[in-house]
Formats: sequence, structure tokens, C-alpha cells
Amino acid sequence: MSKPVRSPTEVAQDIIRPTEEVKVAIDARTAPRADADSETWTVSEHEPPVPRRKILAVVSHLQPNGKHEQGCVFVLLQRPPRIQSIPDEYVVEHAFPVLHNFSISMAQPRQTTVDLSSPPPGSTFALDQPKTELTVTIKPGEDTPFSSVTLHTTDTQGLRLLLDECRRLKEASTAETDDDYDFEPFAWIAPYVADHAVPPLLSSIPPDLRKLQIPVHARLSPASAGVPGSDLSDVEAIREDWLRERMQKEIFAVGEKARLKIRIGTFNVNGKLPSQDLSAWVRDQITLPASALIPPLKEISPLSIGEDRKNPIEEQLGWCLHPGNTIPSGIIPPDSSSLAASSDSSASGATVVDTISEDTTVSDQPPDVPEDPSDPDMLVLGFQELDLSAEALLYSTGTAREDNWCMAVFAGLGEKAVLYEKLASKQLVGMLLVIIIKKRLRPNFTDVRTASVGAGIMGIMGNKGATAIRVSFTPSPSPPASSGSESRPTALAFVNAHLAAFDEMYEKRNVDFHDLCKRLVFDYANSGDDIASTGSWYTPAAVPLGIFDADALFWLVNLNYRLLLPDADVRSLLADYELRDENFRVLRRFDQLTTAMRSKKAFDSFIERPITHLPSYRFGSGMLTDGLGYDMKRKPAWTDRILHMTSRAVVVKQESYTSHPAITMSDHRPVSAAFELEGPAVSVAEYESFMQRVWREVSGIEYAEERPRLRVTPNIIDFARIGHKRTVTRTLEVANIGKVPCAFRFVSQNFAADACPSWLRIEAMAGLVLPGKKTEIILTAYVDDAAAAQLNLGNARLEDTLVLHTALGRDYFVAVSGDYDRTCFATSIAWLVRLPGPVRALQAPSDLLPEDKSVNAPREIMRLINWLMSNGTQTDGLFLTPGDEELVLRIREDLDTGEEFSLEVTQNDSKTTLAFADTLLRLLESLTDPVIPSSLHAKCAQITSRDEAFEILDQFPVVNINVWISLTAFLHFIGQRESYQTKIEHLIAIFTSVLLRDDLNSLMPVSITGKRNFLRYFIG
Amino acid sequence: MSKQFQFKLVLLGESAVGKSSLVLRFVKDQFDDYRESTIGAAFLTQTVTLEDQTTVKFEIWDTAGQERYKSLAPMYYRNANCAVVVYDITQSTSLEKAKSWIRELQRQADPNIVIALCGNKLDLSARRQVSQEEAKKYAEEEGLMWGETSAKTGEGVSDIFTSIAKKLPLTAPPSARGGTRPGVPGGRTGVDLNKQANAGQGQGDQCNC
Ligand SMILES: Nc1nc2c(ncn2[C@@H]2O[C@H](COP(=O)(O)OP(=O)(O)OP(=O)(O)O)[C@@H](O)[C@H]2O)c(=O)[nH]1
Ligand SMILES: [Mg+2]
Repeated sequence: MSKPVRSPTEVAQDIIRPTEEVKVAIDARTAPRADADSETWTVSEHEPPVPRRKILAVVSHLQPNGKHEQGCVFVLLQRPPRIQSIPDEYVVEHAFPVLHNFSISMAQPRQTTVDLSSPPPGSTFALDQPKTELTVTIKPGEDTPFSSVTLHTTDTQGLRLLLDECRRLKEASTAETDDDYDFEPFAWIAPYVADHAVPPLLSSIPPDLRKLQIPVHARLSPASAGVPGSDLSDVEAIREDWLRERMQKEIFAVGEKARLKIRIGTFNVNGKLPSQDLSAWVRDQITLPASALIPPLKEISPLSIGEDRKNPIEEQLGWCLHPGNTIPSGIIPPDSSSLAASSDSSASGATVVDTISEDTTVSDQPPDVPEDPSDPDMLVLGFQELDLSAEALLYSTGTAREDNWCMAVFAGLGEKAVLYEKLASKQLVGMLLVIIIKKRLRPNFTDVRTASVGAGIMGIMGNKGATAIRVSFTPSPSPPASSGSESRPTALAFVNAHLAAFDEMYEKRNVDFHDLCKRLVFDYANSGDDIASTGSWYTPAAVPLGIFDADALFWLVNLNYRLLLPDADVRSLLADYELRDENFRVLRRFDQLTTAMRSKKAFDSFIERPITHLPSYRFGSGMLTDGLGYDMKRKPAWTDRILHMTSRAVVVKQESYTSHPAITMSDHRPVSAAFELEGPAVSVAEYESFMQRVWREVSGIEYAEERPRLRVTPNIIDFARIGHKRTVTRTLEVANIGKVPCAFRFVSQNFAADACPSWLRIEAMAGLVLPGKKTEIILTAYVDDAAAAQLNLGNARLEDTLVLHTALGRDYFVAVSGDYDRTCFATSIAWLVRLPGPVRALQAPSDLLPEDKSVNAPREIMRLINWLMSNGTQTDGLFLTPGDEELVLRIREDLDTGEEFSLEVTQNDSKTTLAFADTLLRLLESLTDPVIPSSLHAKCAQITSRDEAFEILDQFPVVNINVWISLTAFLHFIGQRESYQTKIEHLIAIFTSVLLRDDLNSLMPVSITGKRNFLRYFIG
Repeated sequence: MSKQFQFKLVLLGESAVGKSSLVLRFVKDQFDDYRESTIGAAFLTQTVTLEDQTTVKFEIWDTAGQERYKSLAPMYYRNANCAVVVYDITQSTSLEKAKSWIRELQRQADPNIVIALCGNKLDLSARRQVSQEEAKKYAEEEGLMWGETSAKTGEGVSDIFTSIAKKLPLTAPPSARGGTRPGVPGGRTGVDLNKQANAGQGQGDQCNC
């Protein structure tokens, strides 16, 4: 170790915070005792144990009143070194307040003990022999919870100073009784001791993922101006978030990254045995020439499977599952020079740990098969309805079916199969979760735990429920180094669930989801790992873990969530290939899972990539199927889904999400998703040392008797003009001019209000500033549709006061104001027709026309249609091609001010005309109510003739009729053009979504095809 | 059994000649001295019953006369079965405007469209600028129906719509009227299309006013 040994004072100063001062510090060591083992460590096998260095320090603290001084004797203990590049670290082993009954004494072996508690006046000690070992005994006093400690030191000079200092402080402490200054004595010591000395982020259990999805300010206690909430718990939350943020920015973001390609699949196999090639499902694309592949195993008659359930493909695939078998020569690519260097794992320093994985019976030496960068590192496959037999429900029927399917999966991996092995699996009746990994990564996966929960018959049977596996992935250090540099592991959890079937079981599925989340527990007993083997914070926690106690959580499930639309609707929307995009948008809107996520009833905060594949359920065979092959008796649905949720530390990129229609052996189609998970490859030591260092800056905020002090500038902010979907940004500077770190948050002026007005965004709503540092808070005035809908109805002058509350401190006020530019967007038709002129000219809501004097139609809509009639009828793709953002804003501005349109239009200028069309569409979309009142949608959808269609108009408000008639007349007009013949259906689909906007809260939605038919009577 | 027919009728003419007032009188039998100028167009329906109990339902598209909404007109008169082109008898320029609308209809609209020229504000005949003879002559030349009305007093208003109803070809099968557009006899009453009531008189006839 080339680092110079730091002096005791240097070490102590490193630990002590700015509010305290190190008076004296000396080296010391523990008096030899029987249990000294815990205080030594072995540097190498050849050297004898070295005692851990200890430092004895006297620390003084001056109360904020500048008068009262208090002292404390610290015993600092060196931590075991982990890697050489990190300086030695110390923890506070003991902290003894120097109080009236505190005593510290020293003794020279076989010499008189000097008792400091009653020192002879003016006495000094003649202890000048160098290298004399002295004994120091600290007695904290009988009324304290501490017991006395005895140490040895050779620093006689230092010890003398230390004793002097203790005496001085003790006198100071007894002298202060004459003052009634109010403070908590010795509260400043608390942050140094025991529990508080461990940063919260060093727990080996990742924080609950669900909590991380909620911004910190939303997790704080309820509070408003003058009525602080629970400042102490808020400090904790804000500080933890701040630590996480710093960790993210300064360690994770800048350091090495570890990438893991995870391919996830879910397949309800309907009790079938594998009879087809699964390669489409288990691997992305096959890049090798067909001749090098195993012949696809298509259409093997189920009869040939035979009674003994021997899988017909087993014989072909035996080589990859049984040791010693040779690889069929056909599948080895002739050129294996492209063998990836990364497949060499021998250099990995990570510890190989036992796991619960079964012997995967793979030949010991993988042959030279090239790895592609696109090959998944990890395959996670969930099967449902593996075994539908009644016996399976009652007792375990063995692993025959699991073996069959695993063989089929390895077969599907083709020539790559030799690169993989099974890591773990968990089965519960028909639900099977299997994790297959690249063999070379085997050492990187540790702490494998499994769990399962039945939620079927009687709420416990395993016909429905979930199985789950949790693993720790520890990236290999790069470059491979000593054992001290193992990386911080990333915890991955996977859940394979199968929820209640049938459309009407929607609520049951939501309840089941929450039930599974609670009941799926990974017991430590399940893990095959040996926790005592490593000395890091990251030893697997010997506690049960929930599924959300991970860095990334994936659900690969047959959720049985259905589509809410009527059967005929679903089929016809799916069948219309031309309108696939638009129809899928509509279908997704009415998918029960999407509905549950939107309403936060289940899978709140999970991410699912928008589905672009056909529903995976339910396919039939023979006569009773529709054109797409779906069973006529069951409404098609996206029952098979893959969702995920991650912490900030990892980034998950989803590369695909698709179903595999070619695999037809079940009534479901398998679904797969490819992910790339990117996590920090930071060493545990680096992580911990950083965390310890940063933690020191912010620990003990809650114990400081100093009030936090901020300077918040400016305290008046004017945004000038604020407009719909226009961004105006201002900065608020928050400087910490006090001595203690300051946690702050914005609170509301009163409990009825929000902390932030609807037109403003505050970044960040809560934060932390260190003493002498400042931070910028970005205030962005931005009016979205919802805010505009409110603001349009009120006064144009916006004024508000922001209240910045400092935890354990005062409130600061910032006045914010602006002038709102009213807009015709995000209003209602009924309101627009009461405008006496352009919307921008409206001074106050009282200037609106009375309802009976309102005009017959909104000018803004009619102006847009008129413009399009003059300039746009020759443009192709109106409403189908998005408009240029800036042009749309300019058009909107002219509508709002009532000015003539300022955009010049030249021949063949489709950019401008498309922008006008898009402005019209967006204006209609932004209206608070659809043009056709929602209450009439059901009736409209049932109409079967043009006459009826015109008749129902009578039930609309007059203004809505006029808007409807003009819009449809325009669409009819452009629809007559040759070039629109093919697009008219698309326009109908788009305008149905806008003019007969879907009611997303309805569990019995109105038929989409019915609504489209209605519109078709007017424009078809 | 009564027969019902449905027709699309469009009103055109310079701003302020009284198109909306005419419709208001026809549909609600009301008049309003201060009317907001029409924005874009307004849509109303009204049914007239002929002597032979045939009912004709008009889908009325009352368009805006203001120049700024001028381009909208084609989408309203497209597929219209009949048009009422209105001028103000106290404003000779409004007849010029009416003529230009008629030319546009003759060029662009359905060739079978029935057009009526209507001189409004008959109650203000003291300030008349357009003589009956002048307008009538023009209508005859162009083969239009013609009449004068007062939306204010109601004079001549229902006559002009009734005359149009009589004039419309109540025999027309749906296919003759441009796809699915109006003019199709109402199907709900189960009309026998081959057994029609008397159609109106020949072209150029004027209404009874
Ligand atoms: N004296 C009199 N005034 C009328 C008559 N008809 C309409 N008016 C008045 O003329 C003005 C315009 O009438 P509207 O019906 O709004 O005219 P319009 O043709 O619909 O005008 P636009 O909607 O702008 O195209 C109103 O003030 C009416 O009161 C009428 O027969 N006699
Ligand atoms: Mg009008």
C-alpha cells in the first residue's frame, strides 16, 4: 500500500462535520482481550493478524449562541480495507459526551492511576519516556447507557493534551447552568453514532420499486404554509432522494455500464406438449443459412407423442441436454473464427456460488459456437396451463412436462443451444417459470430465490396464481481484478402469473394482482447462497423479499384481461388491415389491462410497450373461426402480456414486443419481448465509499440545533405572457447561507390549494442544499389542455404565491404572476359561441354574451374549414399527416386574436394546408366535450339509415348540429376527390375518435363500428 | 297513407338580406330585429304538408353571406336538391350578388337543382331599389322560380317553400340523386316509389305571391 498513513487528526477531521471541531486526536489500540479477533484482520495468509487502527479524539461543539461549548470523546475504528485505491475508512465506534460524571484516566502499567475526575490542582504528569505504552480508561458515568472502555496508546504527548482538553470541556459543561439557553444537550452527537452512521442506500435490499415511481414531493407529509407536516420524515425522504440522485449522476451515469440482454416469453400452452419449432419465440431472427439449422419440427401429429409422453423431438435434441453427446455436425458453422472473445469467462473474478438450479446436464465443454451480439444473455420463459389434468391440481406430477418444454426451447435455440444452460425454474401446477442463461455468465448470477402463490379455486389452488424467481446479477469487473472489487449486483425479479379468465372477471383480476403482489415472497431459505462468504454491504439479505424489492421487475403473464368492446367490433377492427394503426389505438384504449393501469386499479406505474401485434387469444381450428383464425365463441383478446418496472439505477430498453402466429399448437399464440437492461457496473467498494462520503455531508440534519437558512432570489417572478402550450422559463436561486444542510419543499398556501398553480411546473418540488452551496429551481409556465380549460374561464391576470418550506426552518414566499393569453383551444363549443369577438379580446368572463344571444357556430372552427375549402381541397392527406408544430401555433394565434391568417399559401404548399387541417383536428380534440354529446353515442351507434341519422341531430344542442353539419360536409366534399377514395375510411376512423370521443371510464363502451357507421351516413 | 320525402335546401345570398330571418319565420314563425350574422352555416329542418297529404321534409342549410365564409358554400350546395337565393329588394347590389350565386349554382351544383330567387324585406317596399319586373324577367330567362317575401311580416314565406316542395320531382329514385345524398324519399313510411303524387308544374313557374 503506497498511501501514506494519515495522521489521527486528519482522519478525525474527515469524519467530523463543519459544526464541530477536532481538538486533539491520537492513535490508540484495543487492550488485548480474549475476543480480539473481531478487531483484527488478515492482510494475507502469511502475515499475522494486524490490529485495526483506532483513534481517540476530543471533539468540541459550540452552540449556535456562540457561548456554550460541549465536548465529546470519540473512538474511531478503521474499517476493513476492500480495495487498495480507496483510502482507509473509519466509523465512530464510541462517542462519550464529556459531562459532569464523565471521567477519563490513564495509567502506566504498574504506576499510579491518575484520576481526572478529581485532579490535583495544577498537576502535570511527567510521562516523557518515549514508546511507553499507557492505558486510557474512559468511564462515561453511571447514568449513561455506555459502558467504559480501555485503550492503549504510545502517544504520551498527545494523551496529555487530550486529558487537558477533556478537563477544560468538563469544566465548561458544569459552568453553564446559570443560563436558560434552550437546546437539546449533546444532540449534535446523534448523527455520528450507530444507526445514523449507515446511509440508507447501503442496504442490501433495493427500495420498493413502487415507491421509486412516485416523485419525492408526492411522498412527503401533508403540509401548507405555517402548518408544517412531519419535517423529520420529510427530511429523510428528501435526503434519500438527493443521495440517490447524486449516486445516479456522479457514479452510475459516469461509470462503466453492464448490459444484459433479456428475452422474455409467455405462452399459454393449453395443456399441449411441444410439437413445433419454437425458434421464432425463443430467438430473434435466424441469421444462419437454413442448412445449418435443425429441421423445423412442424406438424408432428399429437398421436405420435404416445402414452409415455416421450417427446418426439427429444431424440433430435438429445445432444444439447445430455452430457457427452456429440453435436450433429450439420449445425456447427464451418467458420468458427468469429467466436466472441467475450465468451471467455475464465478471467472473471466473481465468486461462483451455488444455486438451486438443477443439473442442466449440458456437456462440459461447449463447442465453438459463435455468439452474436444480439443473442440474449438471459431467456425468461413463462408457461401457463402446462398441465390441465385434474391430478396436476392435486399433487405434483413431476417434471416431465417441464423437461419436454425445456427441450423444445433448447431445440428452438438451434446451434446456439450449447451456449446456454438452465439457471432456475419454478412450477406451480400449470404455471412454469424457467430462466435460461448463457453458460459463461453463470458466475454472475447469484442469490436465486423462487416463490409461488396459488390464487385459483378457493383462492389458494394453483390452477391460477403466480410463480416467481429473483436473481442477483453481478457484472464481471472490468478489468478483472482482485476479489475486493466485485461489482454492485442488480436484483432482477420475474413473475409468471395466470389470472382469472372471462370478460366479466375484470375486478377479480385487479384484486388478484394486488393479492399476488403481497403474497409472492422470496424466502431467504430458498436461496442457495452462502451469505457469510463475502464481507460487503451487498451480501444477500437474510430476510424475505417482496417482488418489488428489486432493481427491475418483469411480469410475463397470461393476465386474461379482455377487450371491452363488443365482439363484432373487435373482430371487424382487427380484420381491417388498412386501418391497423388507428384500430389498434382504439382497441388498446379498451383493453382491460390498459384501463386498469390508467385507473390505477392494477399494474400502476408498470410499463408496457404499446402492442402492435394481433391478439394472442383465442385461436380455434376448423369451422368455427373468423377470417383471422380466432375462435368465434371467444372474443379475441391480448391476454398474454409482458410488463416491467425499474429503479432509476437501471435503464431498460425494450427492443421488441410481438406474438408468434406461426406457432399454432395452442389456442394462445406465444408472445415475446426483447429487452436490453443497462445497469451500472460500479464496484461495491466504490459505491460504498462514495455513499459514505456523501452521507457524511447530510447525516444528522434532523439533529442540528442550527436553523437552516436559505436565500431565495428573486422573490417576485413575472412570466409576462403565458399561453396555451407555450413555454416560459424562469429560475429561482436557492442558496444555503446557513451552517447546516437544508432540505426544502414547496407547500401549498392552504390545505385546499395545490403547492403549484396549474399553469406552472416547478423543477424540483423538493430538494436539498448543502451549506455554502446553491441550487437552481426551474419554474416553467406551461398551460396544457386541462389548465387552459380552467384558465379560459377565469381572469386573464394570473397571480399566485409559492411557499418554499425548509424542513425544521422557516417558510419563504415567492410571488409569481403572468398574463394569460386566452385561447379557443380546450374550451367548449357552448362557450366559444358566447364570445362577443376574438377570444383574446375577452377581458373578463362577465363579458360573454348571454346564452340566448350566442352565435350559431364557433367562428374559429368555421374559419378553419373555410380556409381549407379555399386552399386545401387539392392537398392529399389532410388530417392524416401531422402538421408542423410551429405553423400550428401561428394558426392558433390568428384564431385567438381574430387576425387574418398570416400564413401565405402558395401553389402546392401542402405543409401549410396540412398544418391548417391538423389545427382543426387538434382544436376539436382539445374541446372539453365531444361534438356529439356522450349521452347520445349509444343511440347514434345503433342508427341504420340516413334519415334516422339526420333525425337524431334534433337532440343535439343547436350549435353542435351546426358544427357537425359543416365538418361532415367538408369531409364529404374532400372525400369526393379521387385521391381520397381510399382514405375516406381512415378519415372516418379518425373523426369518430374525435367527434364521438370514446368514454374511457365506461366498462360497457359504445360500439366503435356503430359510431363509425353513424359518421358514414354524413360523409360516406 | 301519407308519403314523406326529404330534400336538401340551401339558402344563399349576400349578408344581411335576411336568409336566417326567412328560415326563422319558416321554421319557428318568429322574427328578430337584431340577428347576429350567420357564421359558416346553420342547419334546421322543417316539414311542409302538401294538399295531397304528401309531406316534404326540408333539411335547410342556411349559409353565411359574409365574404369571409364564402368558400364554404360549395360544400353546402353540393348535392342540394333546391336552393333559395335571396336578395334584399331595398339593395340593388344584393340582386347582383344573387345573380352571381345563381351562375355558380348553374355551373357547379347538381344539374337538376331547383332554384328559387327570393326578394326579401317586402315590408320595406317604400325603399325598393329592385323592381318586381326586373327580377321576374331575370328569373324567367334563367328558368328560376321567383317570389317576394317579408320575413318580418311573414308575407310570402311559407308560399315560397311550398312552391318549391311542389316543384321537386317526388318521383326521383335514390340513384338519380347522387349516391346517398338527400332527396331520397323517407324509407320509414314504406312509400311506394312508383305511385307518386302530382309533381309540380313546369320550369319557370312563379310562386303564388
Ligand atoms: N324590415 C325587415 N328586416 C329584415 C327582414 N328580414 C331580415 N331583416 C333584418 O335584416 C338583418 C339581417 O337579417 P339576417 O336574417 O341576419 O340576414 P342574413 O342574410 O342571414 O345575413 P348573413 O347571415 O350575414 O348572411 C336583420 O337585422 C334582420 O332583422 C325583413 O323581411 N324585413
Ligand atoms: Mg344569416
